[in-house]
Amino acid sequence: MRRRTISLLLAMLPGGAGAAAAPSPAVTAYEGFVAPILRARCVECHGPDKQKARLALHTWEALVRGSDAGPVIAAGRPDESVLVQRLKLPLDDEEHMPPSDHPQPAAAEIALLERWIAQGGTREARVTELNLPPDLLAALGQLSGRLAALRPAGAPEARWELDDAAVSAARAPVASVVAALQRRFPGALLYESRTGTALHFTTAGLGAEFGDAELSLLEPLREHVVVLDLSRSGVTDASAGLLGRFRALRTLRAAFTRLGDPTVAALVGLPALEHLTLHASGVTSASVPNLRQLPRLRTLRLGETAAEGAARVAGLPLGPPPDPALPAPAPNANP
Amino acid sequence: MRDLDGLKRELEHTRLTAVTRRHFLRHCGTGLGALWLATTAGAVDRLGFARAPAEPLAPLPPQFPAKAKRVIYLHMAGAPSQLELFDYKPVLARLDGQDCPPSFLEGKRFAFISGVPKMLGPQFPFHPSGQAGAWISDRLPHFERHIDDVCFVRSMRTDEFNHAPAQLMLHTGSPRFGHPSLGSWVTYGLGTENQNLPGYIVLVSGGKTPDGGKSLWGSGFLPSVYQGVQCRAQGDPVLFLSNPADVSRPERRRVLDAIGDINREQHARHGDPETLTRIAQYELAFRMQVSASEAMDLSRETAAVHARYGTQPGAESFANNCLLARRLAERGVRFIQLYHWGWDSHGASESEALTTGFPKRCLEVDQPIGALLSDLKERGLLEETLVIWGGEFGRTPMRENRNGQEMKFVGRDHHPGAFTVWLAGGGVKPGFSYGATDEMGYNIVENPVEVRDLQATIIRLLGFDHHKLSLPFQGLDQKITGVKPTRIVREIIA
Repeated sequence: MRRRTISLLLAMLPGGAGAAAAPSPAVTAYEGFVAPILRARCVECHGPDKQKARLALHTWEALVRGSDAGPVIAAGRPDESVLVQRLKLPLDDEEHMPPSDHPQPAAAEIALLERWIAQGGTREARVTELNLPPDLLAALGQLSGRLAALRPAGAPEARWELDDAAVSAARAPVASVVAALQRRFPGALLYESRTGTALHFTTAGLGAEFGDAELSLLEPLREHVVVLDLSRSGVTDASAGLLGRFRALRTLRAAFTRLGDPTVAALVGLPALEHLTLHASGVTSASVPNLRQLPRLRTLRLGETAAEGAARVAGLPLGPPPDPALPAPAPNANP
Repeated sequence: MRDLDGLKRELEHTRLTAVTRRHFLRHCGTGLGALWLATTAGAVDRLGFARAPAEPLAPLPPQFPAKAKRVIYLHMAGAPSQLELFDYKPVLARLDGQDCPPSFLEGKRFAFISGVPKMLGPQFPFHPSGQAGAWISDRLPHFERHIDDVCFVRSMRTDEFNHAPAQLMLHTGSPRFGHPSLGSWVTYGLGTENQNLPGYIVLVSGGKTPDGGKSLWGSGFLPSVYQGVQCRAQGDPVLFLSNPADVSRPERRRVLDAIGDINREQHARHGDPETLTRIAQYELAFRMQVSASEAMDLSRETAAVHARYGTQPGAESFANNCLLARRLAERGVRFIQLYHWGWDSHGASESEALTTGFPKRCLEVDQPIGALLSDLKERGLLEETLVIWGGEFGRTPMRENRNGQEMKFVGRDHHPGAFTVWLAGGGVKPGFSYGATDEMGYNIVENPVEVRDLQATIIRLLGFDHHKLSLPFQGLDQKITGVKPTRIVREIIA
């Protein structure tokens, strides 16, 4: 049995960004905005994958069950609902949710949730029955675009069970390019999961024969590739401009390549890049100012490059330096 | 000389004897035979995902976005003592030399201990280490540098107290032979990225194959293309990679094409998935002739690298295998399984003693593990490579006494009730410890983790629900975690 998710229902919401048309009476508030907001803001830590505080918010049943400490929604009383309380705590409060280093929901999103709870917080309540004021109606019209923008470009909404037709439809724009490249580079190009459109590409099995000309074949997929491993490939700085257009990239690995400062300069605008490996590449200390501009960088590997010392001074996230050799422990030390 | 008709009759006879009950069932169109062949030979897997029957190792996306892309499993065969490495028990140290309390012995069965053994304190000094202050003994200084990248599970337990069944349990989910190993399940589920190397490679060191034997990397009832490929520990890791003197590469290609045609004809006739396995293995071997020599050639590494790992090309050592593991991970091999034998510290001989053989084993593995973790980290591979270290069970807090007699050397007996494994990279929480044992390190008092829980967690990190990574066989949807209740240890997932 395959459960259908409700994520596609977002598409049924009226209007795109900027439009504020009347909501379809068929859409319930839970499906129309409650679930999408929770999914975008909370489910990463309170969902199928993790249930911090034993709280999950990805299904109606889980939402109603609440956490270890009890229900998080008090029907009719938003002020007494833990869900709303946590959202409205000051950002520097330890109990504020989402954690302060995560993107924060807009005031209108919280107001929408409050309105729904005030009207009973049921699964059945329809958007039209909430009598939303004009400002919230407008916010609702922009919600889908706003939530979609939270995800890195090309990254799909988290979908845990999806029917094949929806997957095929989502992949249709790139399917033929993907199939052709999979034939050309066996084993190198793969969807991140069976339910999404994000792609991984690796030159692990290709080596130095994979160069700039080959990389240019990936150009049509630049919005979809989230992990790109060019380590030990023959790609050079001639591809810098192209690499800078892979806007969905989360991980770029280019150890043991000739890539250098021009490539780093081209990466500056990448909004989602978290892991960058330039171990034993041509990068120098001239790249350090550019590396500091990457907004989401969490790990950076610059071992065996001319940039490592300066990057360490600049406080970039390099991890501890490799230690010199350690003396062997005493052969036997009975305490 | 037989005439052509005679030859044809003989061929027809051979063909008919090859038609078995299995083929009969298949041609019935229904029944177990059809089910088995339909699922193994291609079409779709249990997730409804189409598989190309002729390319059994082509990479497949996981069920959902994965934290880990590949596994390096460092199995310490013989079961190292957690009480000398990671599970610090000061109370046990105080009780050293006292008689074991009867409550520890009632209703228990040990591999060797009989009579009333004495309690045995930790044999090496411990200290807190890293940001999290995890306790560790002084035996693993190189590993200790990475302690903040490591997640300890101190509350592992298993059902088996002898090496072979316990190793089978850990790696195949069953203490009996015949079940697919974890690496087989993983390559079945995910294929492998590098089509010129096997997807599941096994490297053995320590002077002996683990007690569970080659079944530890067997494919069980999965097609045999998914079994682990063991590379030799000494000399060339893979034999016969080069063609014989008189055979050129194009000639080899022509031979394989001809054999492939015959095999495909056989498959069309009988539908045996093992025929496809054979074709795939011949083709892989052909491609490996070029790429495996390069991947396995440790002499391509610099002197500085060899110094960090403590490697000697051509020698049989855990260090060499760690360096090979890094090279294989870089080249996109899916599952890299290392076994290092020699941790069975009973105290029956000097090499088995906690005070002599055990520290030697620590020396053999410490530096290479430290170097492997460093390399994976520096090359940006640790984020997506899950490294696992552990034995098949733990060791008793009592000193072993066989037949009621104190042993000549200091040792501990097998203990399935508590042991420690650690995991690093691949989406586990760094600098984290999970679970706890009692003051003696004998029983688990907090968050017990069964072997099947660990397996389910590894499979989850690789992007699968362990219930779905399954295959119908003998009337059951078989999976490595079996039929008992299983828990994904979400608490250790970052």
